[in-house]
Amino acid sequence: MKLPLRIKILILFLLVASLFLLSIFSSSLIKGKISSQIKEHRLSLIKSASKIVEHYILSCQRSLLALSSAKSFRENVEKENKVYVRRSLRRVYRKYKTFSFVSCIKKKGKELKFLSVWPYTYEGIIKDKEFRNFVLKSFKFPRLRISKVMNYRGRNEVLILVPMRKAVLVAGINLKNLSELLLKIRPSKKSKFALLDWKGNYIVGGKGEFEYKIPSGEGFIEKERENIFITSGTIPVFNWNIVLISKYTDIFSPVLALKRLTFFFLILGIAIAIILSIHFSKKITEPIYELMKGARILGSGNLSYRIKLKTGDELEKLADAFNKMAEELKKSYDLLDERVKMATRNLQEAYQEIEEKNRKLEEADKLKSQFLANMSHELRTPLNAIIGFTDLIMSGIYGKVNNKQYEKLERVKINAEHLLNLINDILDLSKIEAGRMELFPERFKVNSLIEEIKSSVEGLVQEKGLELRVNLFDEIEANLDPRKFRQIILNLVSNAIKFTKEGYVEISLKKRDGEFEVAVKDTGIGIKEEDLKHIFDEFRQVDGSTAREFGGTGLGLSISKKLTELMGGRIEVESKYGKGSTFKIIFPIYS
Amino acid sequence: MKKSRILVVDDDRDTREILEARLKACGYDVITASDGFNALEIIRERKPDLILLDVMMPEIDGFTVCKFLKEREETKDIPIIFLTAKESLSDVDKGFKSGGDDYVLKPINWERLLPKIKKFLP
Repeated sequence: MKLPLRIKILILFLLVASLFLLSIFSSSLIKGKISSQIKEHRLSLIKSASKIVEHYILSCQRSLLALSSAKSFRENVEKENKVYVRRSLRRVYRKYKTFSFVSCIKKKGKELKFLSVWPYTYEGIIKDKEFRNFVLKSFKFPRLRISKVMNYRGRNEVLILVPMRKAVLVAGINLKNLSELLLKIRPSKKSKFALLDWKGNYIVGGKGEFEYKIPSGEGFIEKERENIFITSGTIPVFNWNIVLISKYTDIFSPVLALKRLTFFFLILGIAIAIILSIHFSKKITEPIYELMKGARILGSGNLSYRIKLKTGDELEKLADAFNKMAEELKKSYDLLDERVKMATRNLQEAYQEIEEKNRKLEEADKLKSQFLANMSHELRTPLNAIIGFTDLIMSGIYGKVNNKQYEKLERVKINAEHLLNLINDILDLSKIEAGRMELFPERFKVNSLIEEIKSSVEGLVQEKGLELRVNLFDEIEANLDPRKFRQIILNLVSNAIKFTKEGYVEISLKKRDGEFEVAVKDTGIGIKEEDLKHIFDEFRQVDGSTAREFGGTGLGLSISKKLTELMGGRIEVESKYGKGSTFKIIFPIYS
Repeated sequence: MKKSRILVVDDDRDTREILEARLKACGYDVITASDGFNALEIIRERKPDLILLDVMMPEIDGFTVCKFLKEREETKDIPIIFLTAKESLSDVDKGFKSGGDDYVLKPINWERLLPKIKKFLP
């Protein structure tokens, strides 16, 4: 059902409520209508029954009246012709069959005497007290009379009296006949008519089985619990009552059936209502559970889940909203994912590219360094041989060498040694650049190392006529590679000596917060300001002339700087052209 | 007095010749070998009093030769001085671990080398 949830619930409640109201209302309505119809019908039955009774009694009277007014009969009664009278009475009795007996009574003094009676079995009635009183009264006030109910020999008798001259005609009404007549018109076998006289005695249908006070006139007695329903009416001519007595269940069977039907429908309705409500509540709660489940699944991050609801109401709209939300979320997640993936891919590609380039660069670099290292090594061996043989020749092993030859051999040796130094420096640089320079740090006293350098360069200094000053302000212990450290200091000191013609070279050592500094100061030629920034570049001696004049490979400072930095220190330079330079190497002090 | 005999093992002919000439000038009896196997053959025939041993040589390197000699009863007492361009500390370490008695770097510095030789050959 594609109805909004509200309407569904409303319909359900209305259905159940209206079912109740309808059943109760309709049953009472129909019951009232039916029972009033039944009553009406019964009253009409009573009326027709009373007409029949009235007719029956009147016809009795008429037949008696006709007899009494017949001239021959009158004459014969006066003559007391018993035979004739009997014959006449018999004829009437047989003709009409409405009489239990027919008689003609004469009064002899105070005695009543049958002139004749038919049938003879009623001869004794003349002695019945009630009978006599009734008849005697009629002799005093002669007129047409109907008696109340009398009992004669266990049978009810109602008498009709028609007066004549000095005689009366008295007949008993054939109640059996009347009763049968009434039986014929009773509405059902379980009901019967009863006749009562004005004193309330039963004429017909009595037999004492009903003890209810029958109301005079029209009316009803309902005794549902005793299963009795009585309808009464009057026969005004005789001032009789006529009643229709029925079984209550019999009459009201349609009402009762209706009652049962109503009850059945009520139960059915309630059952349907219960089933429907269960069904509806299921229908209502099921989608809610489905929603809850869906919301939980979506909440747990499974965004591809869809809530399937086709209830056509607010819940479906809610589910749709959920689905839409999930879809949107999923879309944005997917988009985000895609973007992230793309970005990652791009990044990865870039990384790979960079890595590739780096690798190639490194490889090229390594190859270069390797080449340099190999070349240096290969170059060193023959150079060593050259120097070695030159030495041997100069030492005179192979025969006497004259001065001129010795001089030239010395030039060979100096050049070869210079070349060897160059090669050694290149080897160092290439090692540093290839990342293959191994460091072997150990604890040593910087003071002692400087002292050692001092003693090794002292000769050279004296030779040049310079002053060598050494100022060790602090005791320093370093944890560095001592060979490399020595190489650096020695390089700086040799440079200082090399470029100083007069004055002094000063080596100083001091602490400055957390670091120590070795400064090599000279009073040499100094460095032009524009050259200072290139001072540590490879193969940069300030100019060609300097190189020629002072010798050196031009790699020393570069190596010194690189070694210093490799060991975690730094190198600084201050210089004034023409006045001198100061080189400082600074290392952190490790405790 | 009999001259002390020094065995120079080096794959470079020039180095061998320079060392031989200089050491002879210093009054030693010098024999030479051009590689490890050659050296082992010579040692079996003419046992030297000291060996100057290069490291980088074809076939077998100096460390292996040294280790081999130091494991033999008849040669383990011959002092061995490595004379090599291999200057890294790990190589120096290897040299001593293989049983070498001293380690001298090339290029040859006679002022440093000769005292070391004299230490083993009085």
